Amino acid sequence: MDSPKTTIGIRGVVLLCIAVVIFSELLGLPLLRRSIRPAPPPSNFAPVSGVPSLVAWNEATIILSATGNPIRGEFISRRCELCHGVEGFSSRASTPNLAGIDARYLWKQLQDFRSGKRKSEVMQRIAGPLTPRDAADVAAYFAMLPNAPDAQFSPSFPQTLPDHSAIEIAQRLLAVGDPNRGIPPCQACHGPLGYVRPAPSLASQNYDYVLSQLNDFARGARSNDIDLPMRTIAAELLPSERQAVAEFYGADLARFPVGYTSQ
Amino acid sequence: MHTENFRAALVVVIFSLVYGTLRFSSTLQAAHILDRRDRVDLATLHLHGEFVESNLGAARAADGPVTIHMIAEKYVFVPACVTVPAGVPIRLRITSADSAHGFKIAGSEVKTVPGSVTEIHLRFPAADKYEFYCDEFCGPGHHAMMGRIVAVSENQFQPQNSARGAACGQP
Repeated sequence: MDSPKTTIGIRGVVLLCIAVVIFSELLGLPLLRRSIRPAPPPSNFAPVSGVPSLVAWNEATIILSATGNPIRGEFISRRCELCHGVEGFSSRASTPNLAGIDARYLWKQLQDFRSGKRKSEVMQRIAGPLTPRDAADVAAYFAMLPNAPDAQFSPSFPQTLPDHSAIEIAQRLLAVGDPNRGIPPCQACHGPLGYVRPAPSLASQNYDYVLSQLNDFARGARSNDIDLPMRTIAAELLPSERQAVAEFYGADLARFPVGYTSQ
Repeated sequence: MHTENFRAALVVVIFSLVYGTLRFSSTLQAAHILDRRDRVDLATLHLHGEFVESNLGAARAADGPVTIHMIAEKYVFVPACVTVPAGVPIRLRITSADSAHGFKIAGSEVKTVPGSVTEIHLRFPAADKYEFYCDEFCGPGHHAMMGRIVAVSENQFQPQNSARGAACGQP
C-alpha cells in the first residue's frame, strides 16, 4: 500500500494524458508545415476567358434568385411573351418553354446573358436592361406558371412520339445513365429522381431546344455551366443519344419518374 | 508490477501510443482533408484561385512535381479524363463542389469535402488506364460517377491546358 503522497492517482493519469496531448500538438506543428505545401496560384490568376459564369452562389445571390416578386415579374414578363408565349410555352420549338422553370436557374441564365457568358444576340439585348432584382421577379413569375400546356397555345410542345428504339435509349439514360462512360442519369440532377440546383427540370421543354443545348454543350459553344457538368456529360453522349433524349423530353414523356429495367 | 503507480503509468503509456499513432499518422504523407490552411471558397471556385477552368487537369509546376487539379461534383469528376506521366511522383489536389466524394486511385484513398482541398501524393506504376468510381455516397447519380486517369510514358506527356478532357489527349 503506497502512501497517498506517492500515488499518481486518477487525477495524475488524467493530467499526464492531457500533457501528452499538448506535447504532441506542439510537436506536430513543424511536421504539419513540412508536409503541406499549398500549390502556387496559377500564373493567370483570374482569366476572364476561362470563367464560365460571373454568378457566384453565395448567400446573397441564392436568396435573391429564389425570392422574386411574381406580380412585378408578370408585368416585366410581357416583353417575353412574343417569343416565349403567353403561358410560358413558346410557339417555336427552338425557343425554350419557361413555364414552371426553376427560378434560380432562370435568374442565373439572365445574368449570364447579361454578362455575355451565355451567347445569344437576342437574349443579350433583352437581359441587358434587367437588373438582378428584375430578373429575380421575372424568374419568380415564370416559376409559378403551370407546366401542363394547352395544346392550342403551344404548337411546338409536345412533339410526336419518337420511335421505340429512341425511347429505349432515352429511358436508360434518364433512369440509369451509363456508368461505363461516367454518364449519370438525367433524372438525378434534372429531377424527379433528384435535384442538383440550379439544373432545370426538362419535363416540359421543347425538343429542338433541348437538342440544340446538348449539342452546344458538347462542342463547348455553350459554356456557362459552372464546374463543367453539362459539357462533360454532353461530350460523352453520342449524337444519337442526345437526339433520343431530346425527343423523349420533347414528347412530354418525362413528366413522371422514368424507370428502366434491362432486357 | 502490481503497484498502483505502475498501472497508472501503463495507462498513460498506452494512451500516448494510441494518441500518438492517430495524431502523427494523420500528418505524415496522408491525404490532408480538413486542414485549416487549405480552405477554398465554394462560391468563387470558378472565378479565381487554383480551381478555375483553365487550371484544371495536369500541369508541371516550375519546381518539379506534376500537379493535377480536379473538382468532384454531383455526378462527374472534372476533368473526366486526365493524362499524367507514369512512374513519377504526382501531386493531386482535388476539392468538392457540393458534397463529400471519394475514390481509390493508385493504392491510395482520396476523400473530398466541399470547402477544403485534399492533397495527396501518387505514383502510377505503369502506363495504363486507371478508372475510378466514387465511393462516397452522394446521391441518385452516385453509381455512375466515374473518372479516368490515363498514365503515359514521360516523354509522351503533354500538360493539359483545358478542362474539357472527356477523351484524354484531346485539346
